[in-house]
Amino acid sequence: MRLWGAALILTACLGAGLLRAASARRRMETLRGLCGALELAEGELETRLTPLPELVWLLAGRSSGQTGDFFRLLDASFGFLGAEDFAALWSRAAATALSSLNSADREELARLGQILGRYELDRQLGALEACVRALRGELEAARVRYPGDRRLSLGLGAAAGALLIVVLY
Amino acid sequence: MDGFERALELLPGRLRQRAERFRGTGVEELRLRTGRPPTALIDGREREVDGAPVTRQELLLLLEKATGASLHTAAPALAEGFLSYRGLRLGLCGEALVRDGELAGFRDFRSAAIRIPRECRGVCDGVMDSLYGGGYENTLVISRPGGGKTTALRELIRKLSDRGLRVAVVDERNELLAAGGTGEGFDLGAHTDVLTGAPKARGALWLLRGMNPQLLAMDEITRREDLEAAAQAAGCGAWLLASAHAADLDELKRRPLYRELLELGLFQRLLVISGTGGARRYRVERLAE
Repeated sequence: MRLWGAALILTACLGAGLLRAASARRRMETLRGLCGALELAEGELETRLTPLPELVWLLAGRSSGQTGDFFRLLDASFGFLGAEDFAALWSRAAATALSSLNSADREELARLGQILGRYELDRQLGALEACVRALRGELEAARVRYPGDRRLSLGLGAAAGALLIVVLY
Repeated sequence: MDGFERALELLPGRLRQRAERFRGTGVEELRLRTGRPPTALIDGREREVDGAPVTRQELLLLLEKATGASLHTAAPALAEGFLSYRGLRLGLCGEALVRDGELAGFRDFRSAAIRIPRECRGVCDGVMDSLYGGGYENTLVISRPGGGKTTALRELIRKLSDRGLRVAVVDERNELLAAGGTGEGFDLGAHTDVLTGAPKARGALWLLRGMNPQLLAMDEITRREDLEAAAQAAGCGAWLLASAHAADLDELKRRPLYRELLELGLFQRLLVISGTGGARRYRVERLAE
């Protein structure tokens, strides 16, 4: 019985470590998806002057995971335009759909939402470029940190489990 | 959805609720000025919609709704001082943005006027015989701004088209057809082809080449290019139907562009609209050859 209990504690702690590593991986996937989508948005705006509702619909169809959820949610919320401004709709969709991002990532996106569709084209393109650069920087940093972080998460999980077993038994 | 419904759709929440009570009262325009109560123009007189003043944020929300949160697509229209939203004309005013000596748009907005298009079937019934009883002739419809030119033009197009004439319309600002998001719009007749959103001069040539119209209609000749397009259309054998801002022939003659238009002898008939609201009067004048 004690052996079973120790095994369960160790598995639970290792699981927690794995979950932490998985959440870092999800953030990287979301950042990658967002960078791709925002680069596509930059191209659409620059070459076709695509209106935002059409652009968001396009991005919703071409993105997957949390990025896809974000653009789909934003697409659905265009009906509220006029009652709320676009920046508010953008931030709310980001807060709801992009749960794997940290607060700094979301702030970066919120800054972009305040400029998109509101100012002249050059300023919007500049904001898109700056946002992509910042998110790509975060993605690179996360990618470099990921193997170490993953080992650390698993190690900490295993160590916490072992410590708990020693304390309890 | 009629014009008033579309105008309500544009208004931010509080203003929409307050403006609802003007449904069915023949509102011609809704006017919003920051720091002032919103008003509705009915029978040529402005009436307060709500006592509370319009805020800058409300005006920005209206603008965002009208442009679909896409100011970049509206930039050329803004440089002309107005936007089109599902067949409504949204006139804007504020601090102008000037680039290279040309108006490029607005730095800030202070007021907006939403003009609501109306279909008034039969308004031209009384003048159809004097206009076209002896055959078709090029006709210019004139009135003061907001005097009912577009409504009359729309009605003449429908009548002539339903008589079997092939009509092509250059509807630069989508005011004649006033098509909404789903493509519905006013009835412009069974034999009418409408080109919306294209500049008049280019659009007229396009229609003359592609659609072989018997009559070419265009709203508001305001620029030299429009005048040149009208001259070109007349030279191609199509009848002309257009409108211009002037209260009467004397005022038309006083304006350099219109004086030139008259000197070219493009139009033979003048439909003059005077009065306001339900008391509009329509008078046909023959222009000297």
